[in-house]
Amino acid sequence: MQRFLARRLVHGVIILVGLSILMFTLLVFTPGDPVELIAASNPDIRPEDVSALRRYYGLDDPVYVRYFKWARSVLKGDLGYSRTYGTPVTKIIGERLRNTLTLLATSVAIAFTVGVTVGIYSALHQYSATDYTVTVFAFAGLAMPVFWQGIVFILVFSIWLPGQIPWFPKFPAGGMMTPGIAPGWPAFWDRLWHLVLPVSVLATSGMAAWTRYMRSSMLEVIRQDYVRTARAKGTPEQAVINRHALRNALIPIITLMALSIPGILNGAVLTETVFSWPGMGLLLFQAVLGHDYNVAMAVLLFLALITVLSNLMADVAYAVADPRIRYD
Amino acid sequence: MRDALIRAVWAAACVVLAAGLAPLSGAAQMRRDAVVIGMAQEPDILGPFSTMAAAGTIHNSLFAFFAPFNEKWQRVPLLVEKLPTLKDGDWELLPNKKMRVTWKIRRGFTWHDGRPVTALDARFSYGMLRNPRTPTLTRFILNKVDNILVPNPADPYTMVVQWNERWPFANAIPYGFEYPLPRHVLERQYLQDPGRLRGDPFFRAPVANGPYRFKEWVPGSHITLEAYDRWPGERPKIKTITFRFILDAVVLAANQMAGSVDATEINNFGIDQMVEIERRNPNVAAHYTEALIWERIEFNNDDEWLKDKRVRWAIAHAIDRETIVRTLFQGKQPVAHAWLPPRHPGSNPNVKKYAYDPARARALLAEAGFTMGPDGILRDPRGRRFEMTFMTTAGNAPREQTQQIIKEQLKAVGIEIRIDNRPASVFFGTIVPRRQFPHLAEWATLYTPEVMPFTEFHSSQIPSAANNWEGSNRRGWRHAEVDRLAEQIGQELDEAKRVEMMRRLQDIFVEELPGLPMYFRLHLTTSVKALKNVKPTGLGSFYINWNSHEWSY
Amino acid sequence: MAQSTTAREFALDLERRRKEAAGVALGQSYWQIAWRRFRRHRLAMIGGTVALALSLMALLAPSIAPHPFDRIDLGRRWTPPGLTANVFGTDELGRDVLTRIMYAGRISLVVGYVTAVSVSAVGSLLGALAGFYGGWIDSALMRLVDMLIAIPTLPLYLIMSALIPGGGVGRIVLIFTIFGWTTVARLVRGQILSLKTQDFVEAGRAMGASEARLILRHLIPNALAPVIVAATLTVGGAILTESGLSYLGLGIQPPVPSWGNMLQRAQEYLLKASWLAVFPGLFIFITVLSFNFLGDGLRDALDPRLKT
Repeated sequence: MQRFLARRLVHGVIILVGLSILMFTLLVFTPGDPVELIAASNPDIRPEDVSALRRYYGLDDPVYVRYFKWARSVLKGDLGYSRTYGTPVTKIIGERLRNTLTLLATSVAIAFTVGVTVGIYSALHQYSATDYTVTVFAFAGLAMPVFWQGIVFILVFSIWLPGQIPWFPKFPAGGMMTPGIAPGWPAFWDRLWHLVLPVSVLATSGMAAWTRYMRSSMLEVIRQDYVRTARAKGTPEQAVINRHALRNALIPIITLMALSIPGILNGAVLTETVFSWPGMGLLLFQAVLGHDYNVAMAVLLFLALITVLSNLMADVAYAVADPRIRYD
Repeated sequence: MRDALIRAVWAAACVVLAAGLAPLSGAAQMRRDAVVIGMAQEPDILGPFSTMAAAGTIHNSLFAFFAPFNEKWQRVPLLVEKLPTLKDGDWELLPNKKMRVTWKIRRGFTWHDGRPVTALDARFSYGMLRNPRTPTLTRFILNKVDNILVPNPADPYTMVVQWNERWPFANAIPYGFEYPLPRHVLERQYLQDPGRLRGDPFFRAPVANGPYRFKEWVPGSHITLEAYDRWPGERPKIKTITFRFILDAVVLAANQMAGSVDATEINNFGIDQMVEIERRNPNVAAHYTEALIWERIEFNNDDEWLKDKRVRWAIAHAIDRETIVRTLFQGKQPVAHAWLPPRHPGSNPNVKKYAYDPARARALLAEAGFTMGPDGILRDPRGRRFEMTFMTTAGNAPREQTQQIIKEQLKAVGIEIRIDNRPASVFFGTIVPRRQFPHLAEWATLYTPEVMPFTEFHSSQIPSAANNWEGSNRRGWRHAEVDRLAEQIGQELDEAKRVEMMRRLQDIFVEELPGLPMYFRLHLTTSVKALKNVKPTGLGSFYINWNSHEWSY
Repeated sequence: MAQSTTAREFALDLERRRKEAAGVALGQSYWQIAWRRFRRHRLAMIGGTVALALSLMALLAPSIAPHPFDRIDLGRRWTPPGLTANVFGTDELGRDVLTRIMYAGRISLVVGYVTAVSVSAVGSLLGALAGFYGGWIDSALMRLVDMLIAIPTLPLYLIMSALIPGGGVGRIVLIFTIFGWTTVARLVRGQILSLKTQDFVEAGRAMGASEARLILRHLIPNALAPVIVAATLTVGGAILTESGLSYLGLGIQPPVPSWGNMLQRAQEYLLKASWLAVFPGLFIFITVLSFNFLGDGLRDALDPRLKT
């Protein structure tokens, strides 16, 4: 078990290093030098100003030199300076990471709870009207463009419905908090209130996907011999489901959950952009467009780290949940 | 039974949650001494090293400018006692085209830490910005200034700016920057390492000198300023100003419609959106402010076809600019006939006008040697299809719509247009500054009332590898008289003479038509009607909140 | 192969064992059974029919579109949908929305189909190589797969879009393929690993068949079923992702219309002319939905263990 974990850790590190090289190279080669971008907006800027700025930002070194410089300082725990924000990257990332994790954790929790519950129900009532309805809704949830859903939600729940129905609560059209709100409980409720729309959007596709996974996983399990045996022995149906079927059906879901993290992060980039949610996704989008390499690299690595860690956690959880697995 | 119980608990929880949250949503509107300004951009940093309009907006409330422009486009002294004039003798012309301008800083202004604002701060700022090791964006005007002196140690409020060449606006702005920076806060870091100055905490939370002081910056969300209690003028009635960053223009518009923001600036709104906001929320005023934004299509004057004046004229006659402007912008943005809008004193109302006249366009093209091919597209004298590339910024709706219409209208006279748009970062990063557009390219330039034609029209300012891509004459236009005029205007201190030369220059431009003026863009902002005294200027660097200390509900 | 080394491979192993059972029945009767099973799947049949209809609409757009493509009519801007000459209404330049939907469908569906084909081709090839040869090729490819699935793809698309100039179909398909081949590669590799040990491969080896021939003639066709399913799902996925990229301004670039960029452009007029957004949104939705139903039905049909 320990050897297994150690090996997975080494894998994780290799993945992260490989990714950093890949992404650094890609980023550096994107056209539109940040300094040229600044220069273009100002007719009075002089070539000597431009070259001074290029030197200032260290843009004249070859790529590998810049990568090693970057890697060395990262290993020392220094993620570098944000070119645009002029502050250490760690300072920018910290807050954003928390915001993204809030959004992610809430969405995943809701999507998982709802998805698994509905999936089980659907499987236990296969081919019923409910099962069909659930299936259609789950497919619908997977077919909706995320950003489109977000914008429609804003228009419906922040403008249209409050305009039609006087008592309808007006949901905030983006943002994470009302500026200047009193700290403590009011601030807490305010944040929760701001979470409602983005979480509903982000949770939709996850919910749909897990409903589908859970349904088919459950269907597979209840056809297994041991479930039949349990039934044949006269074990009450409730107990069969709870004790035998459910646990085994949940096992593959753990892996699927870990595997779906990158997909959810994709959704988070779009959701954060639509809702102006000050998270990593939004930051990354701006950093890539603004050629803020240090920030983009840090965000990308953090996202990769989240995925690698969630895979590792899934491996551990798997080991605990399923005694059939042996590690060598 | 258990199911029913669970359902009941869920329902109860939802009701409690909704009831607890609902009243909070209206909280922001109830406080009537706060203003929330929504912006579709978040600044990188604050202070003069930022190029972003969002930073410029915040500076308007945060800093006291030497002499800001008002809504009538006049400089009004604020941090200085008066604008120097030749007549009063505080603006002196010296031999060898040198000049000396004396400024007096008004007493009573303090930095937000309580220290007085003096001429020493201005002198420090000048030296710091001019130092080649600091990331100053442009030293165009700074380099014309030889030195700044504070001659009398007993009077740290008087400074003398020594110019090493003539500059017509030497009495409008002391050294090319609108506001000073606090010497006592920045000097230590500056002396230690000017190269690392940009990372100083000051630029994330400036100690400024304006009516509002910095309170907090929640990255990705908002910046809040609060009224400064030692502001020497009348006390601001608005106690806090919050700048909220909502990057999606549609969502920003939704926020203004819903009343979650009180005003918008740097909002990326189109005319249609402005009209829609006003219609949806009658409590919001949409401001269409005349500005100095020139939208035009540049011709690449080195192109074999476009070198011919008749081809350029033909294109102008083939495009129905009136209709484009009327339909796409609801007639609110005027057609441009030259490059300065009517409100600028140098504007020339009598320039030649190219009316929509496809027949004339066809005749001109025939005269230039083009003949109609079998596919309805012209052939040049050497038999090549008359197909041109038209580039602009991808994702910019009004430009892409204009392009579509132009494509159809040019096709009607036998010119095929191939659209090749690039993201703004690439378009402005390399295509435009390196003149990589083969035929047509559309973009806008934002002028100030103090614009000088030299960098954009002088033939020495055509960017090329040889001159290290210097200059903004991207159309590649060479004209001897224009060169002479551009040189003279930059040195001429008499406004009447300058205006006359500007008008002459525009006459030549329109006659030669090295680029096709399209329209003058308006500066679009919104604010709730309850907010009084909102007077957008329409000028760059002077945003909706330039007079926020005079606002009230 | 009873014991898996990692949790993820265990999940795949479930899949693999399932397919093994299917592999036994491979042959003509297998496809016949599959077709019979597929026909019973109501949603999949509907999905397949709709997908076919949409594809035909796109294919025949030049002949069936009610108006010439991109005909601007400034006198008829903002015509709402209804029983007029413009059933789906007109847009901000007076262009017929139905016509644009049809032409945009060509682009969007081409993006979907071509991505599906190229992802399957690249994925199958690399997966087969890894599974067949094993050794360092396998390790290297699988580490690459691990890397690519460890990171959300959207940011990579963002960077690649900035890196590769142009705004056409080719660029989008290229980007989608570079990062999208991993799923298929893993499926095929898993299949090959289990098939490799089976009798007919051994028999082929014994008869002196070349490796290339073995891969192409025996292994890949046998691994086809899961690839078909994955490819079907990729069609919808690519259309959806393109719309997301369009929202960020990095998808197919106008004036070439795609459902994604029509939707993106319509946002600005959402309150004034909601139909501009409703129709492209609806078409994306229906297309993705029907391809997903189709894929789901194919999965059930090609896999005898799920449905009994």
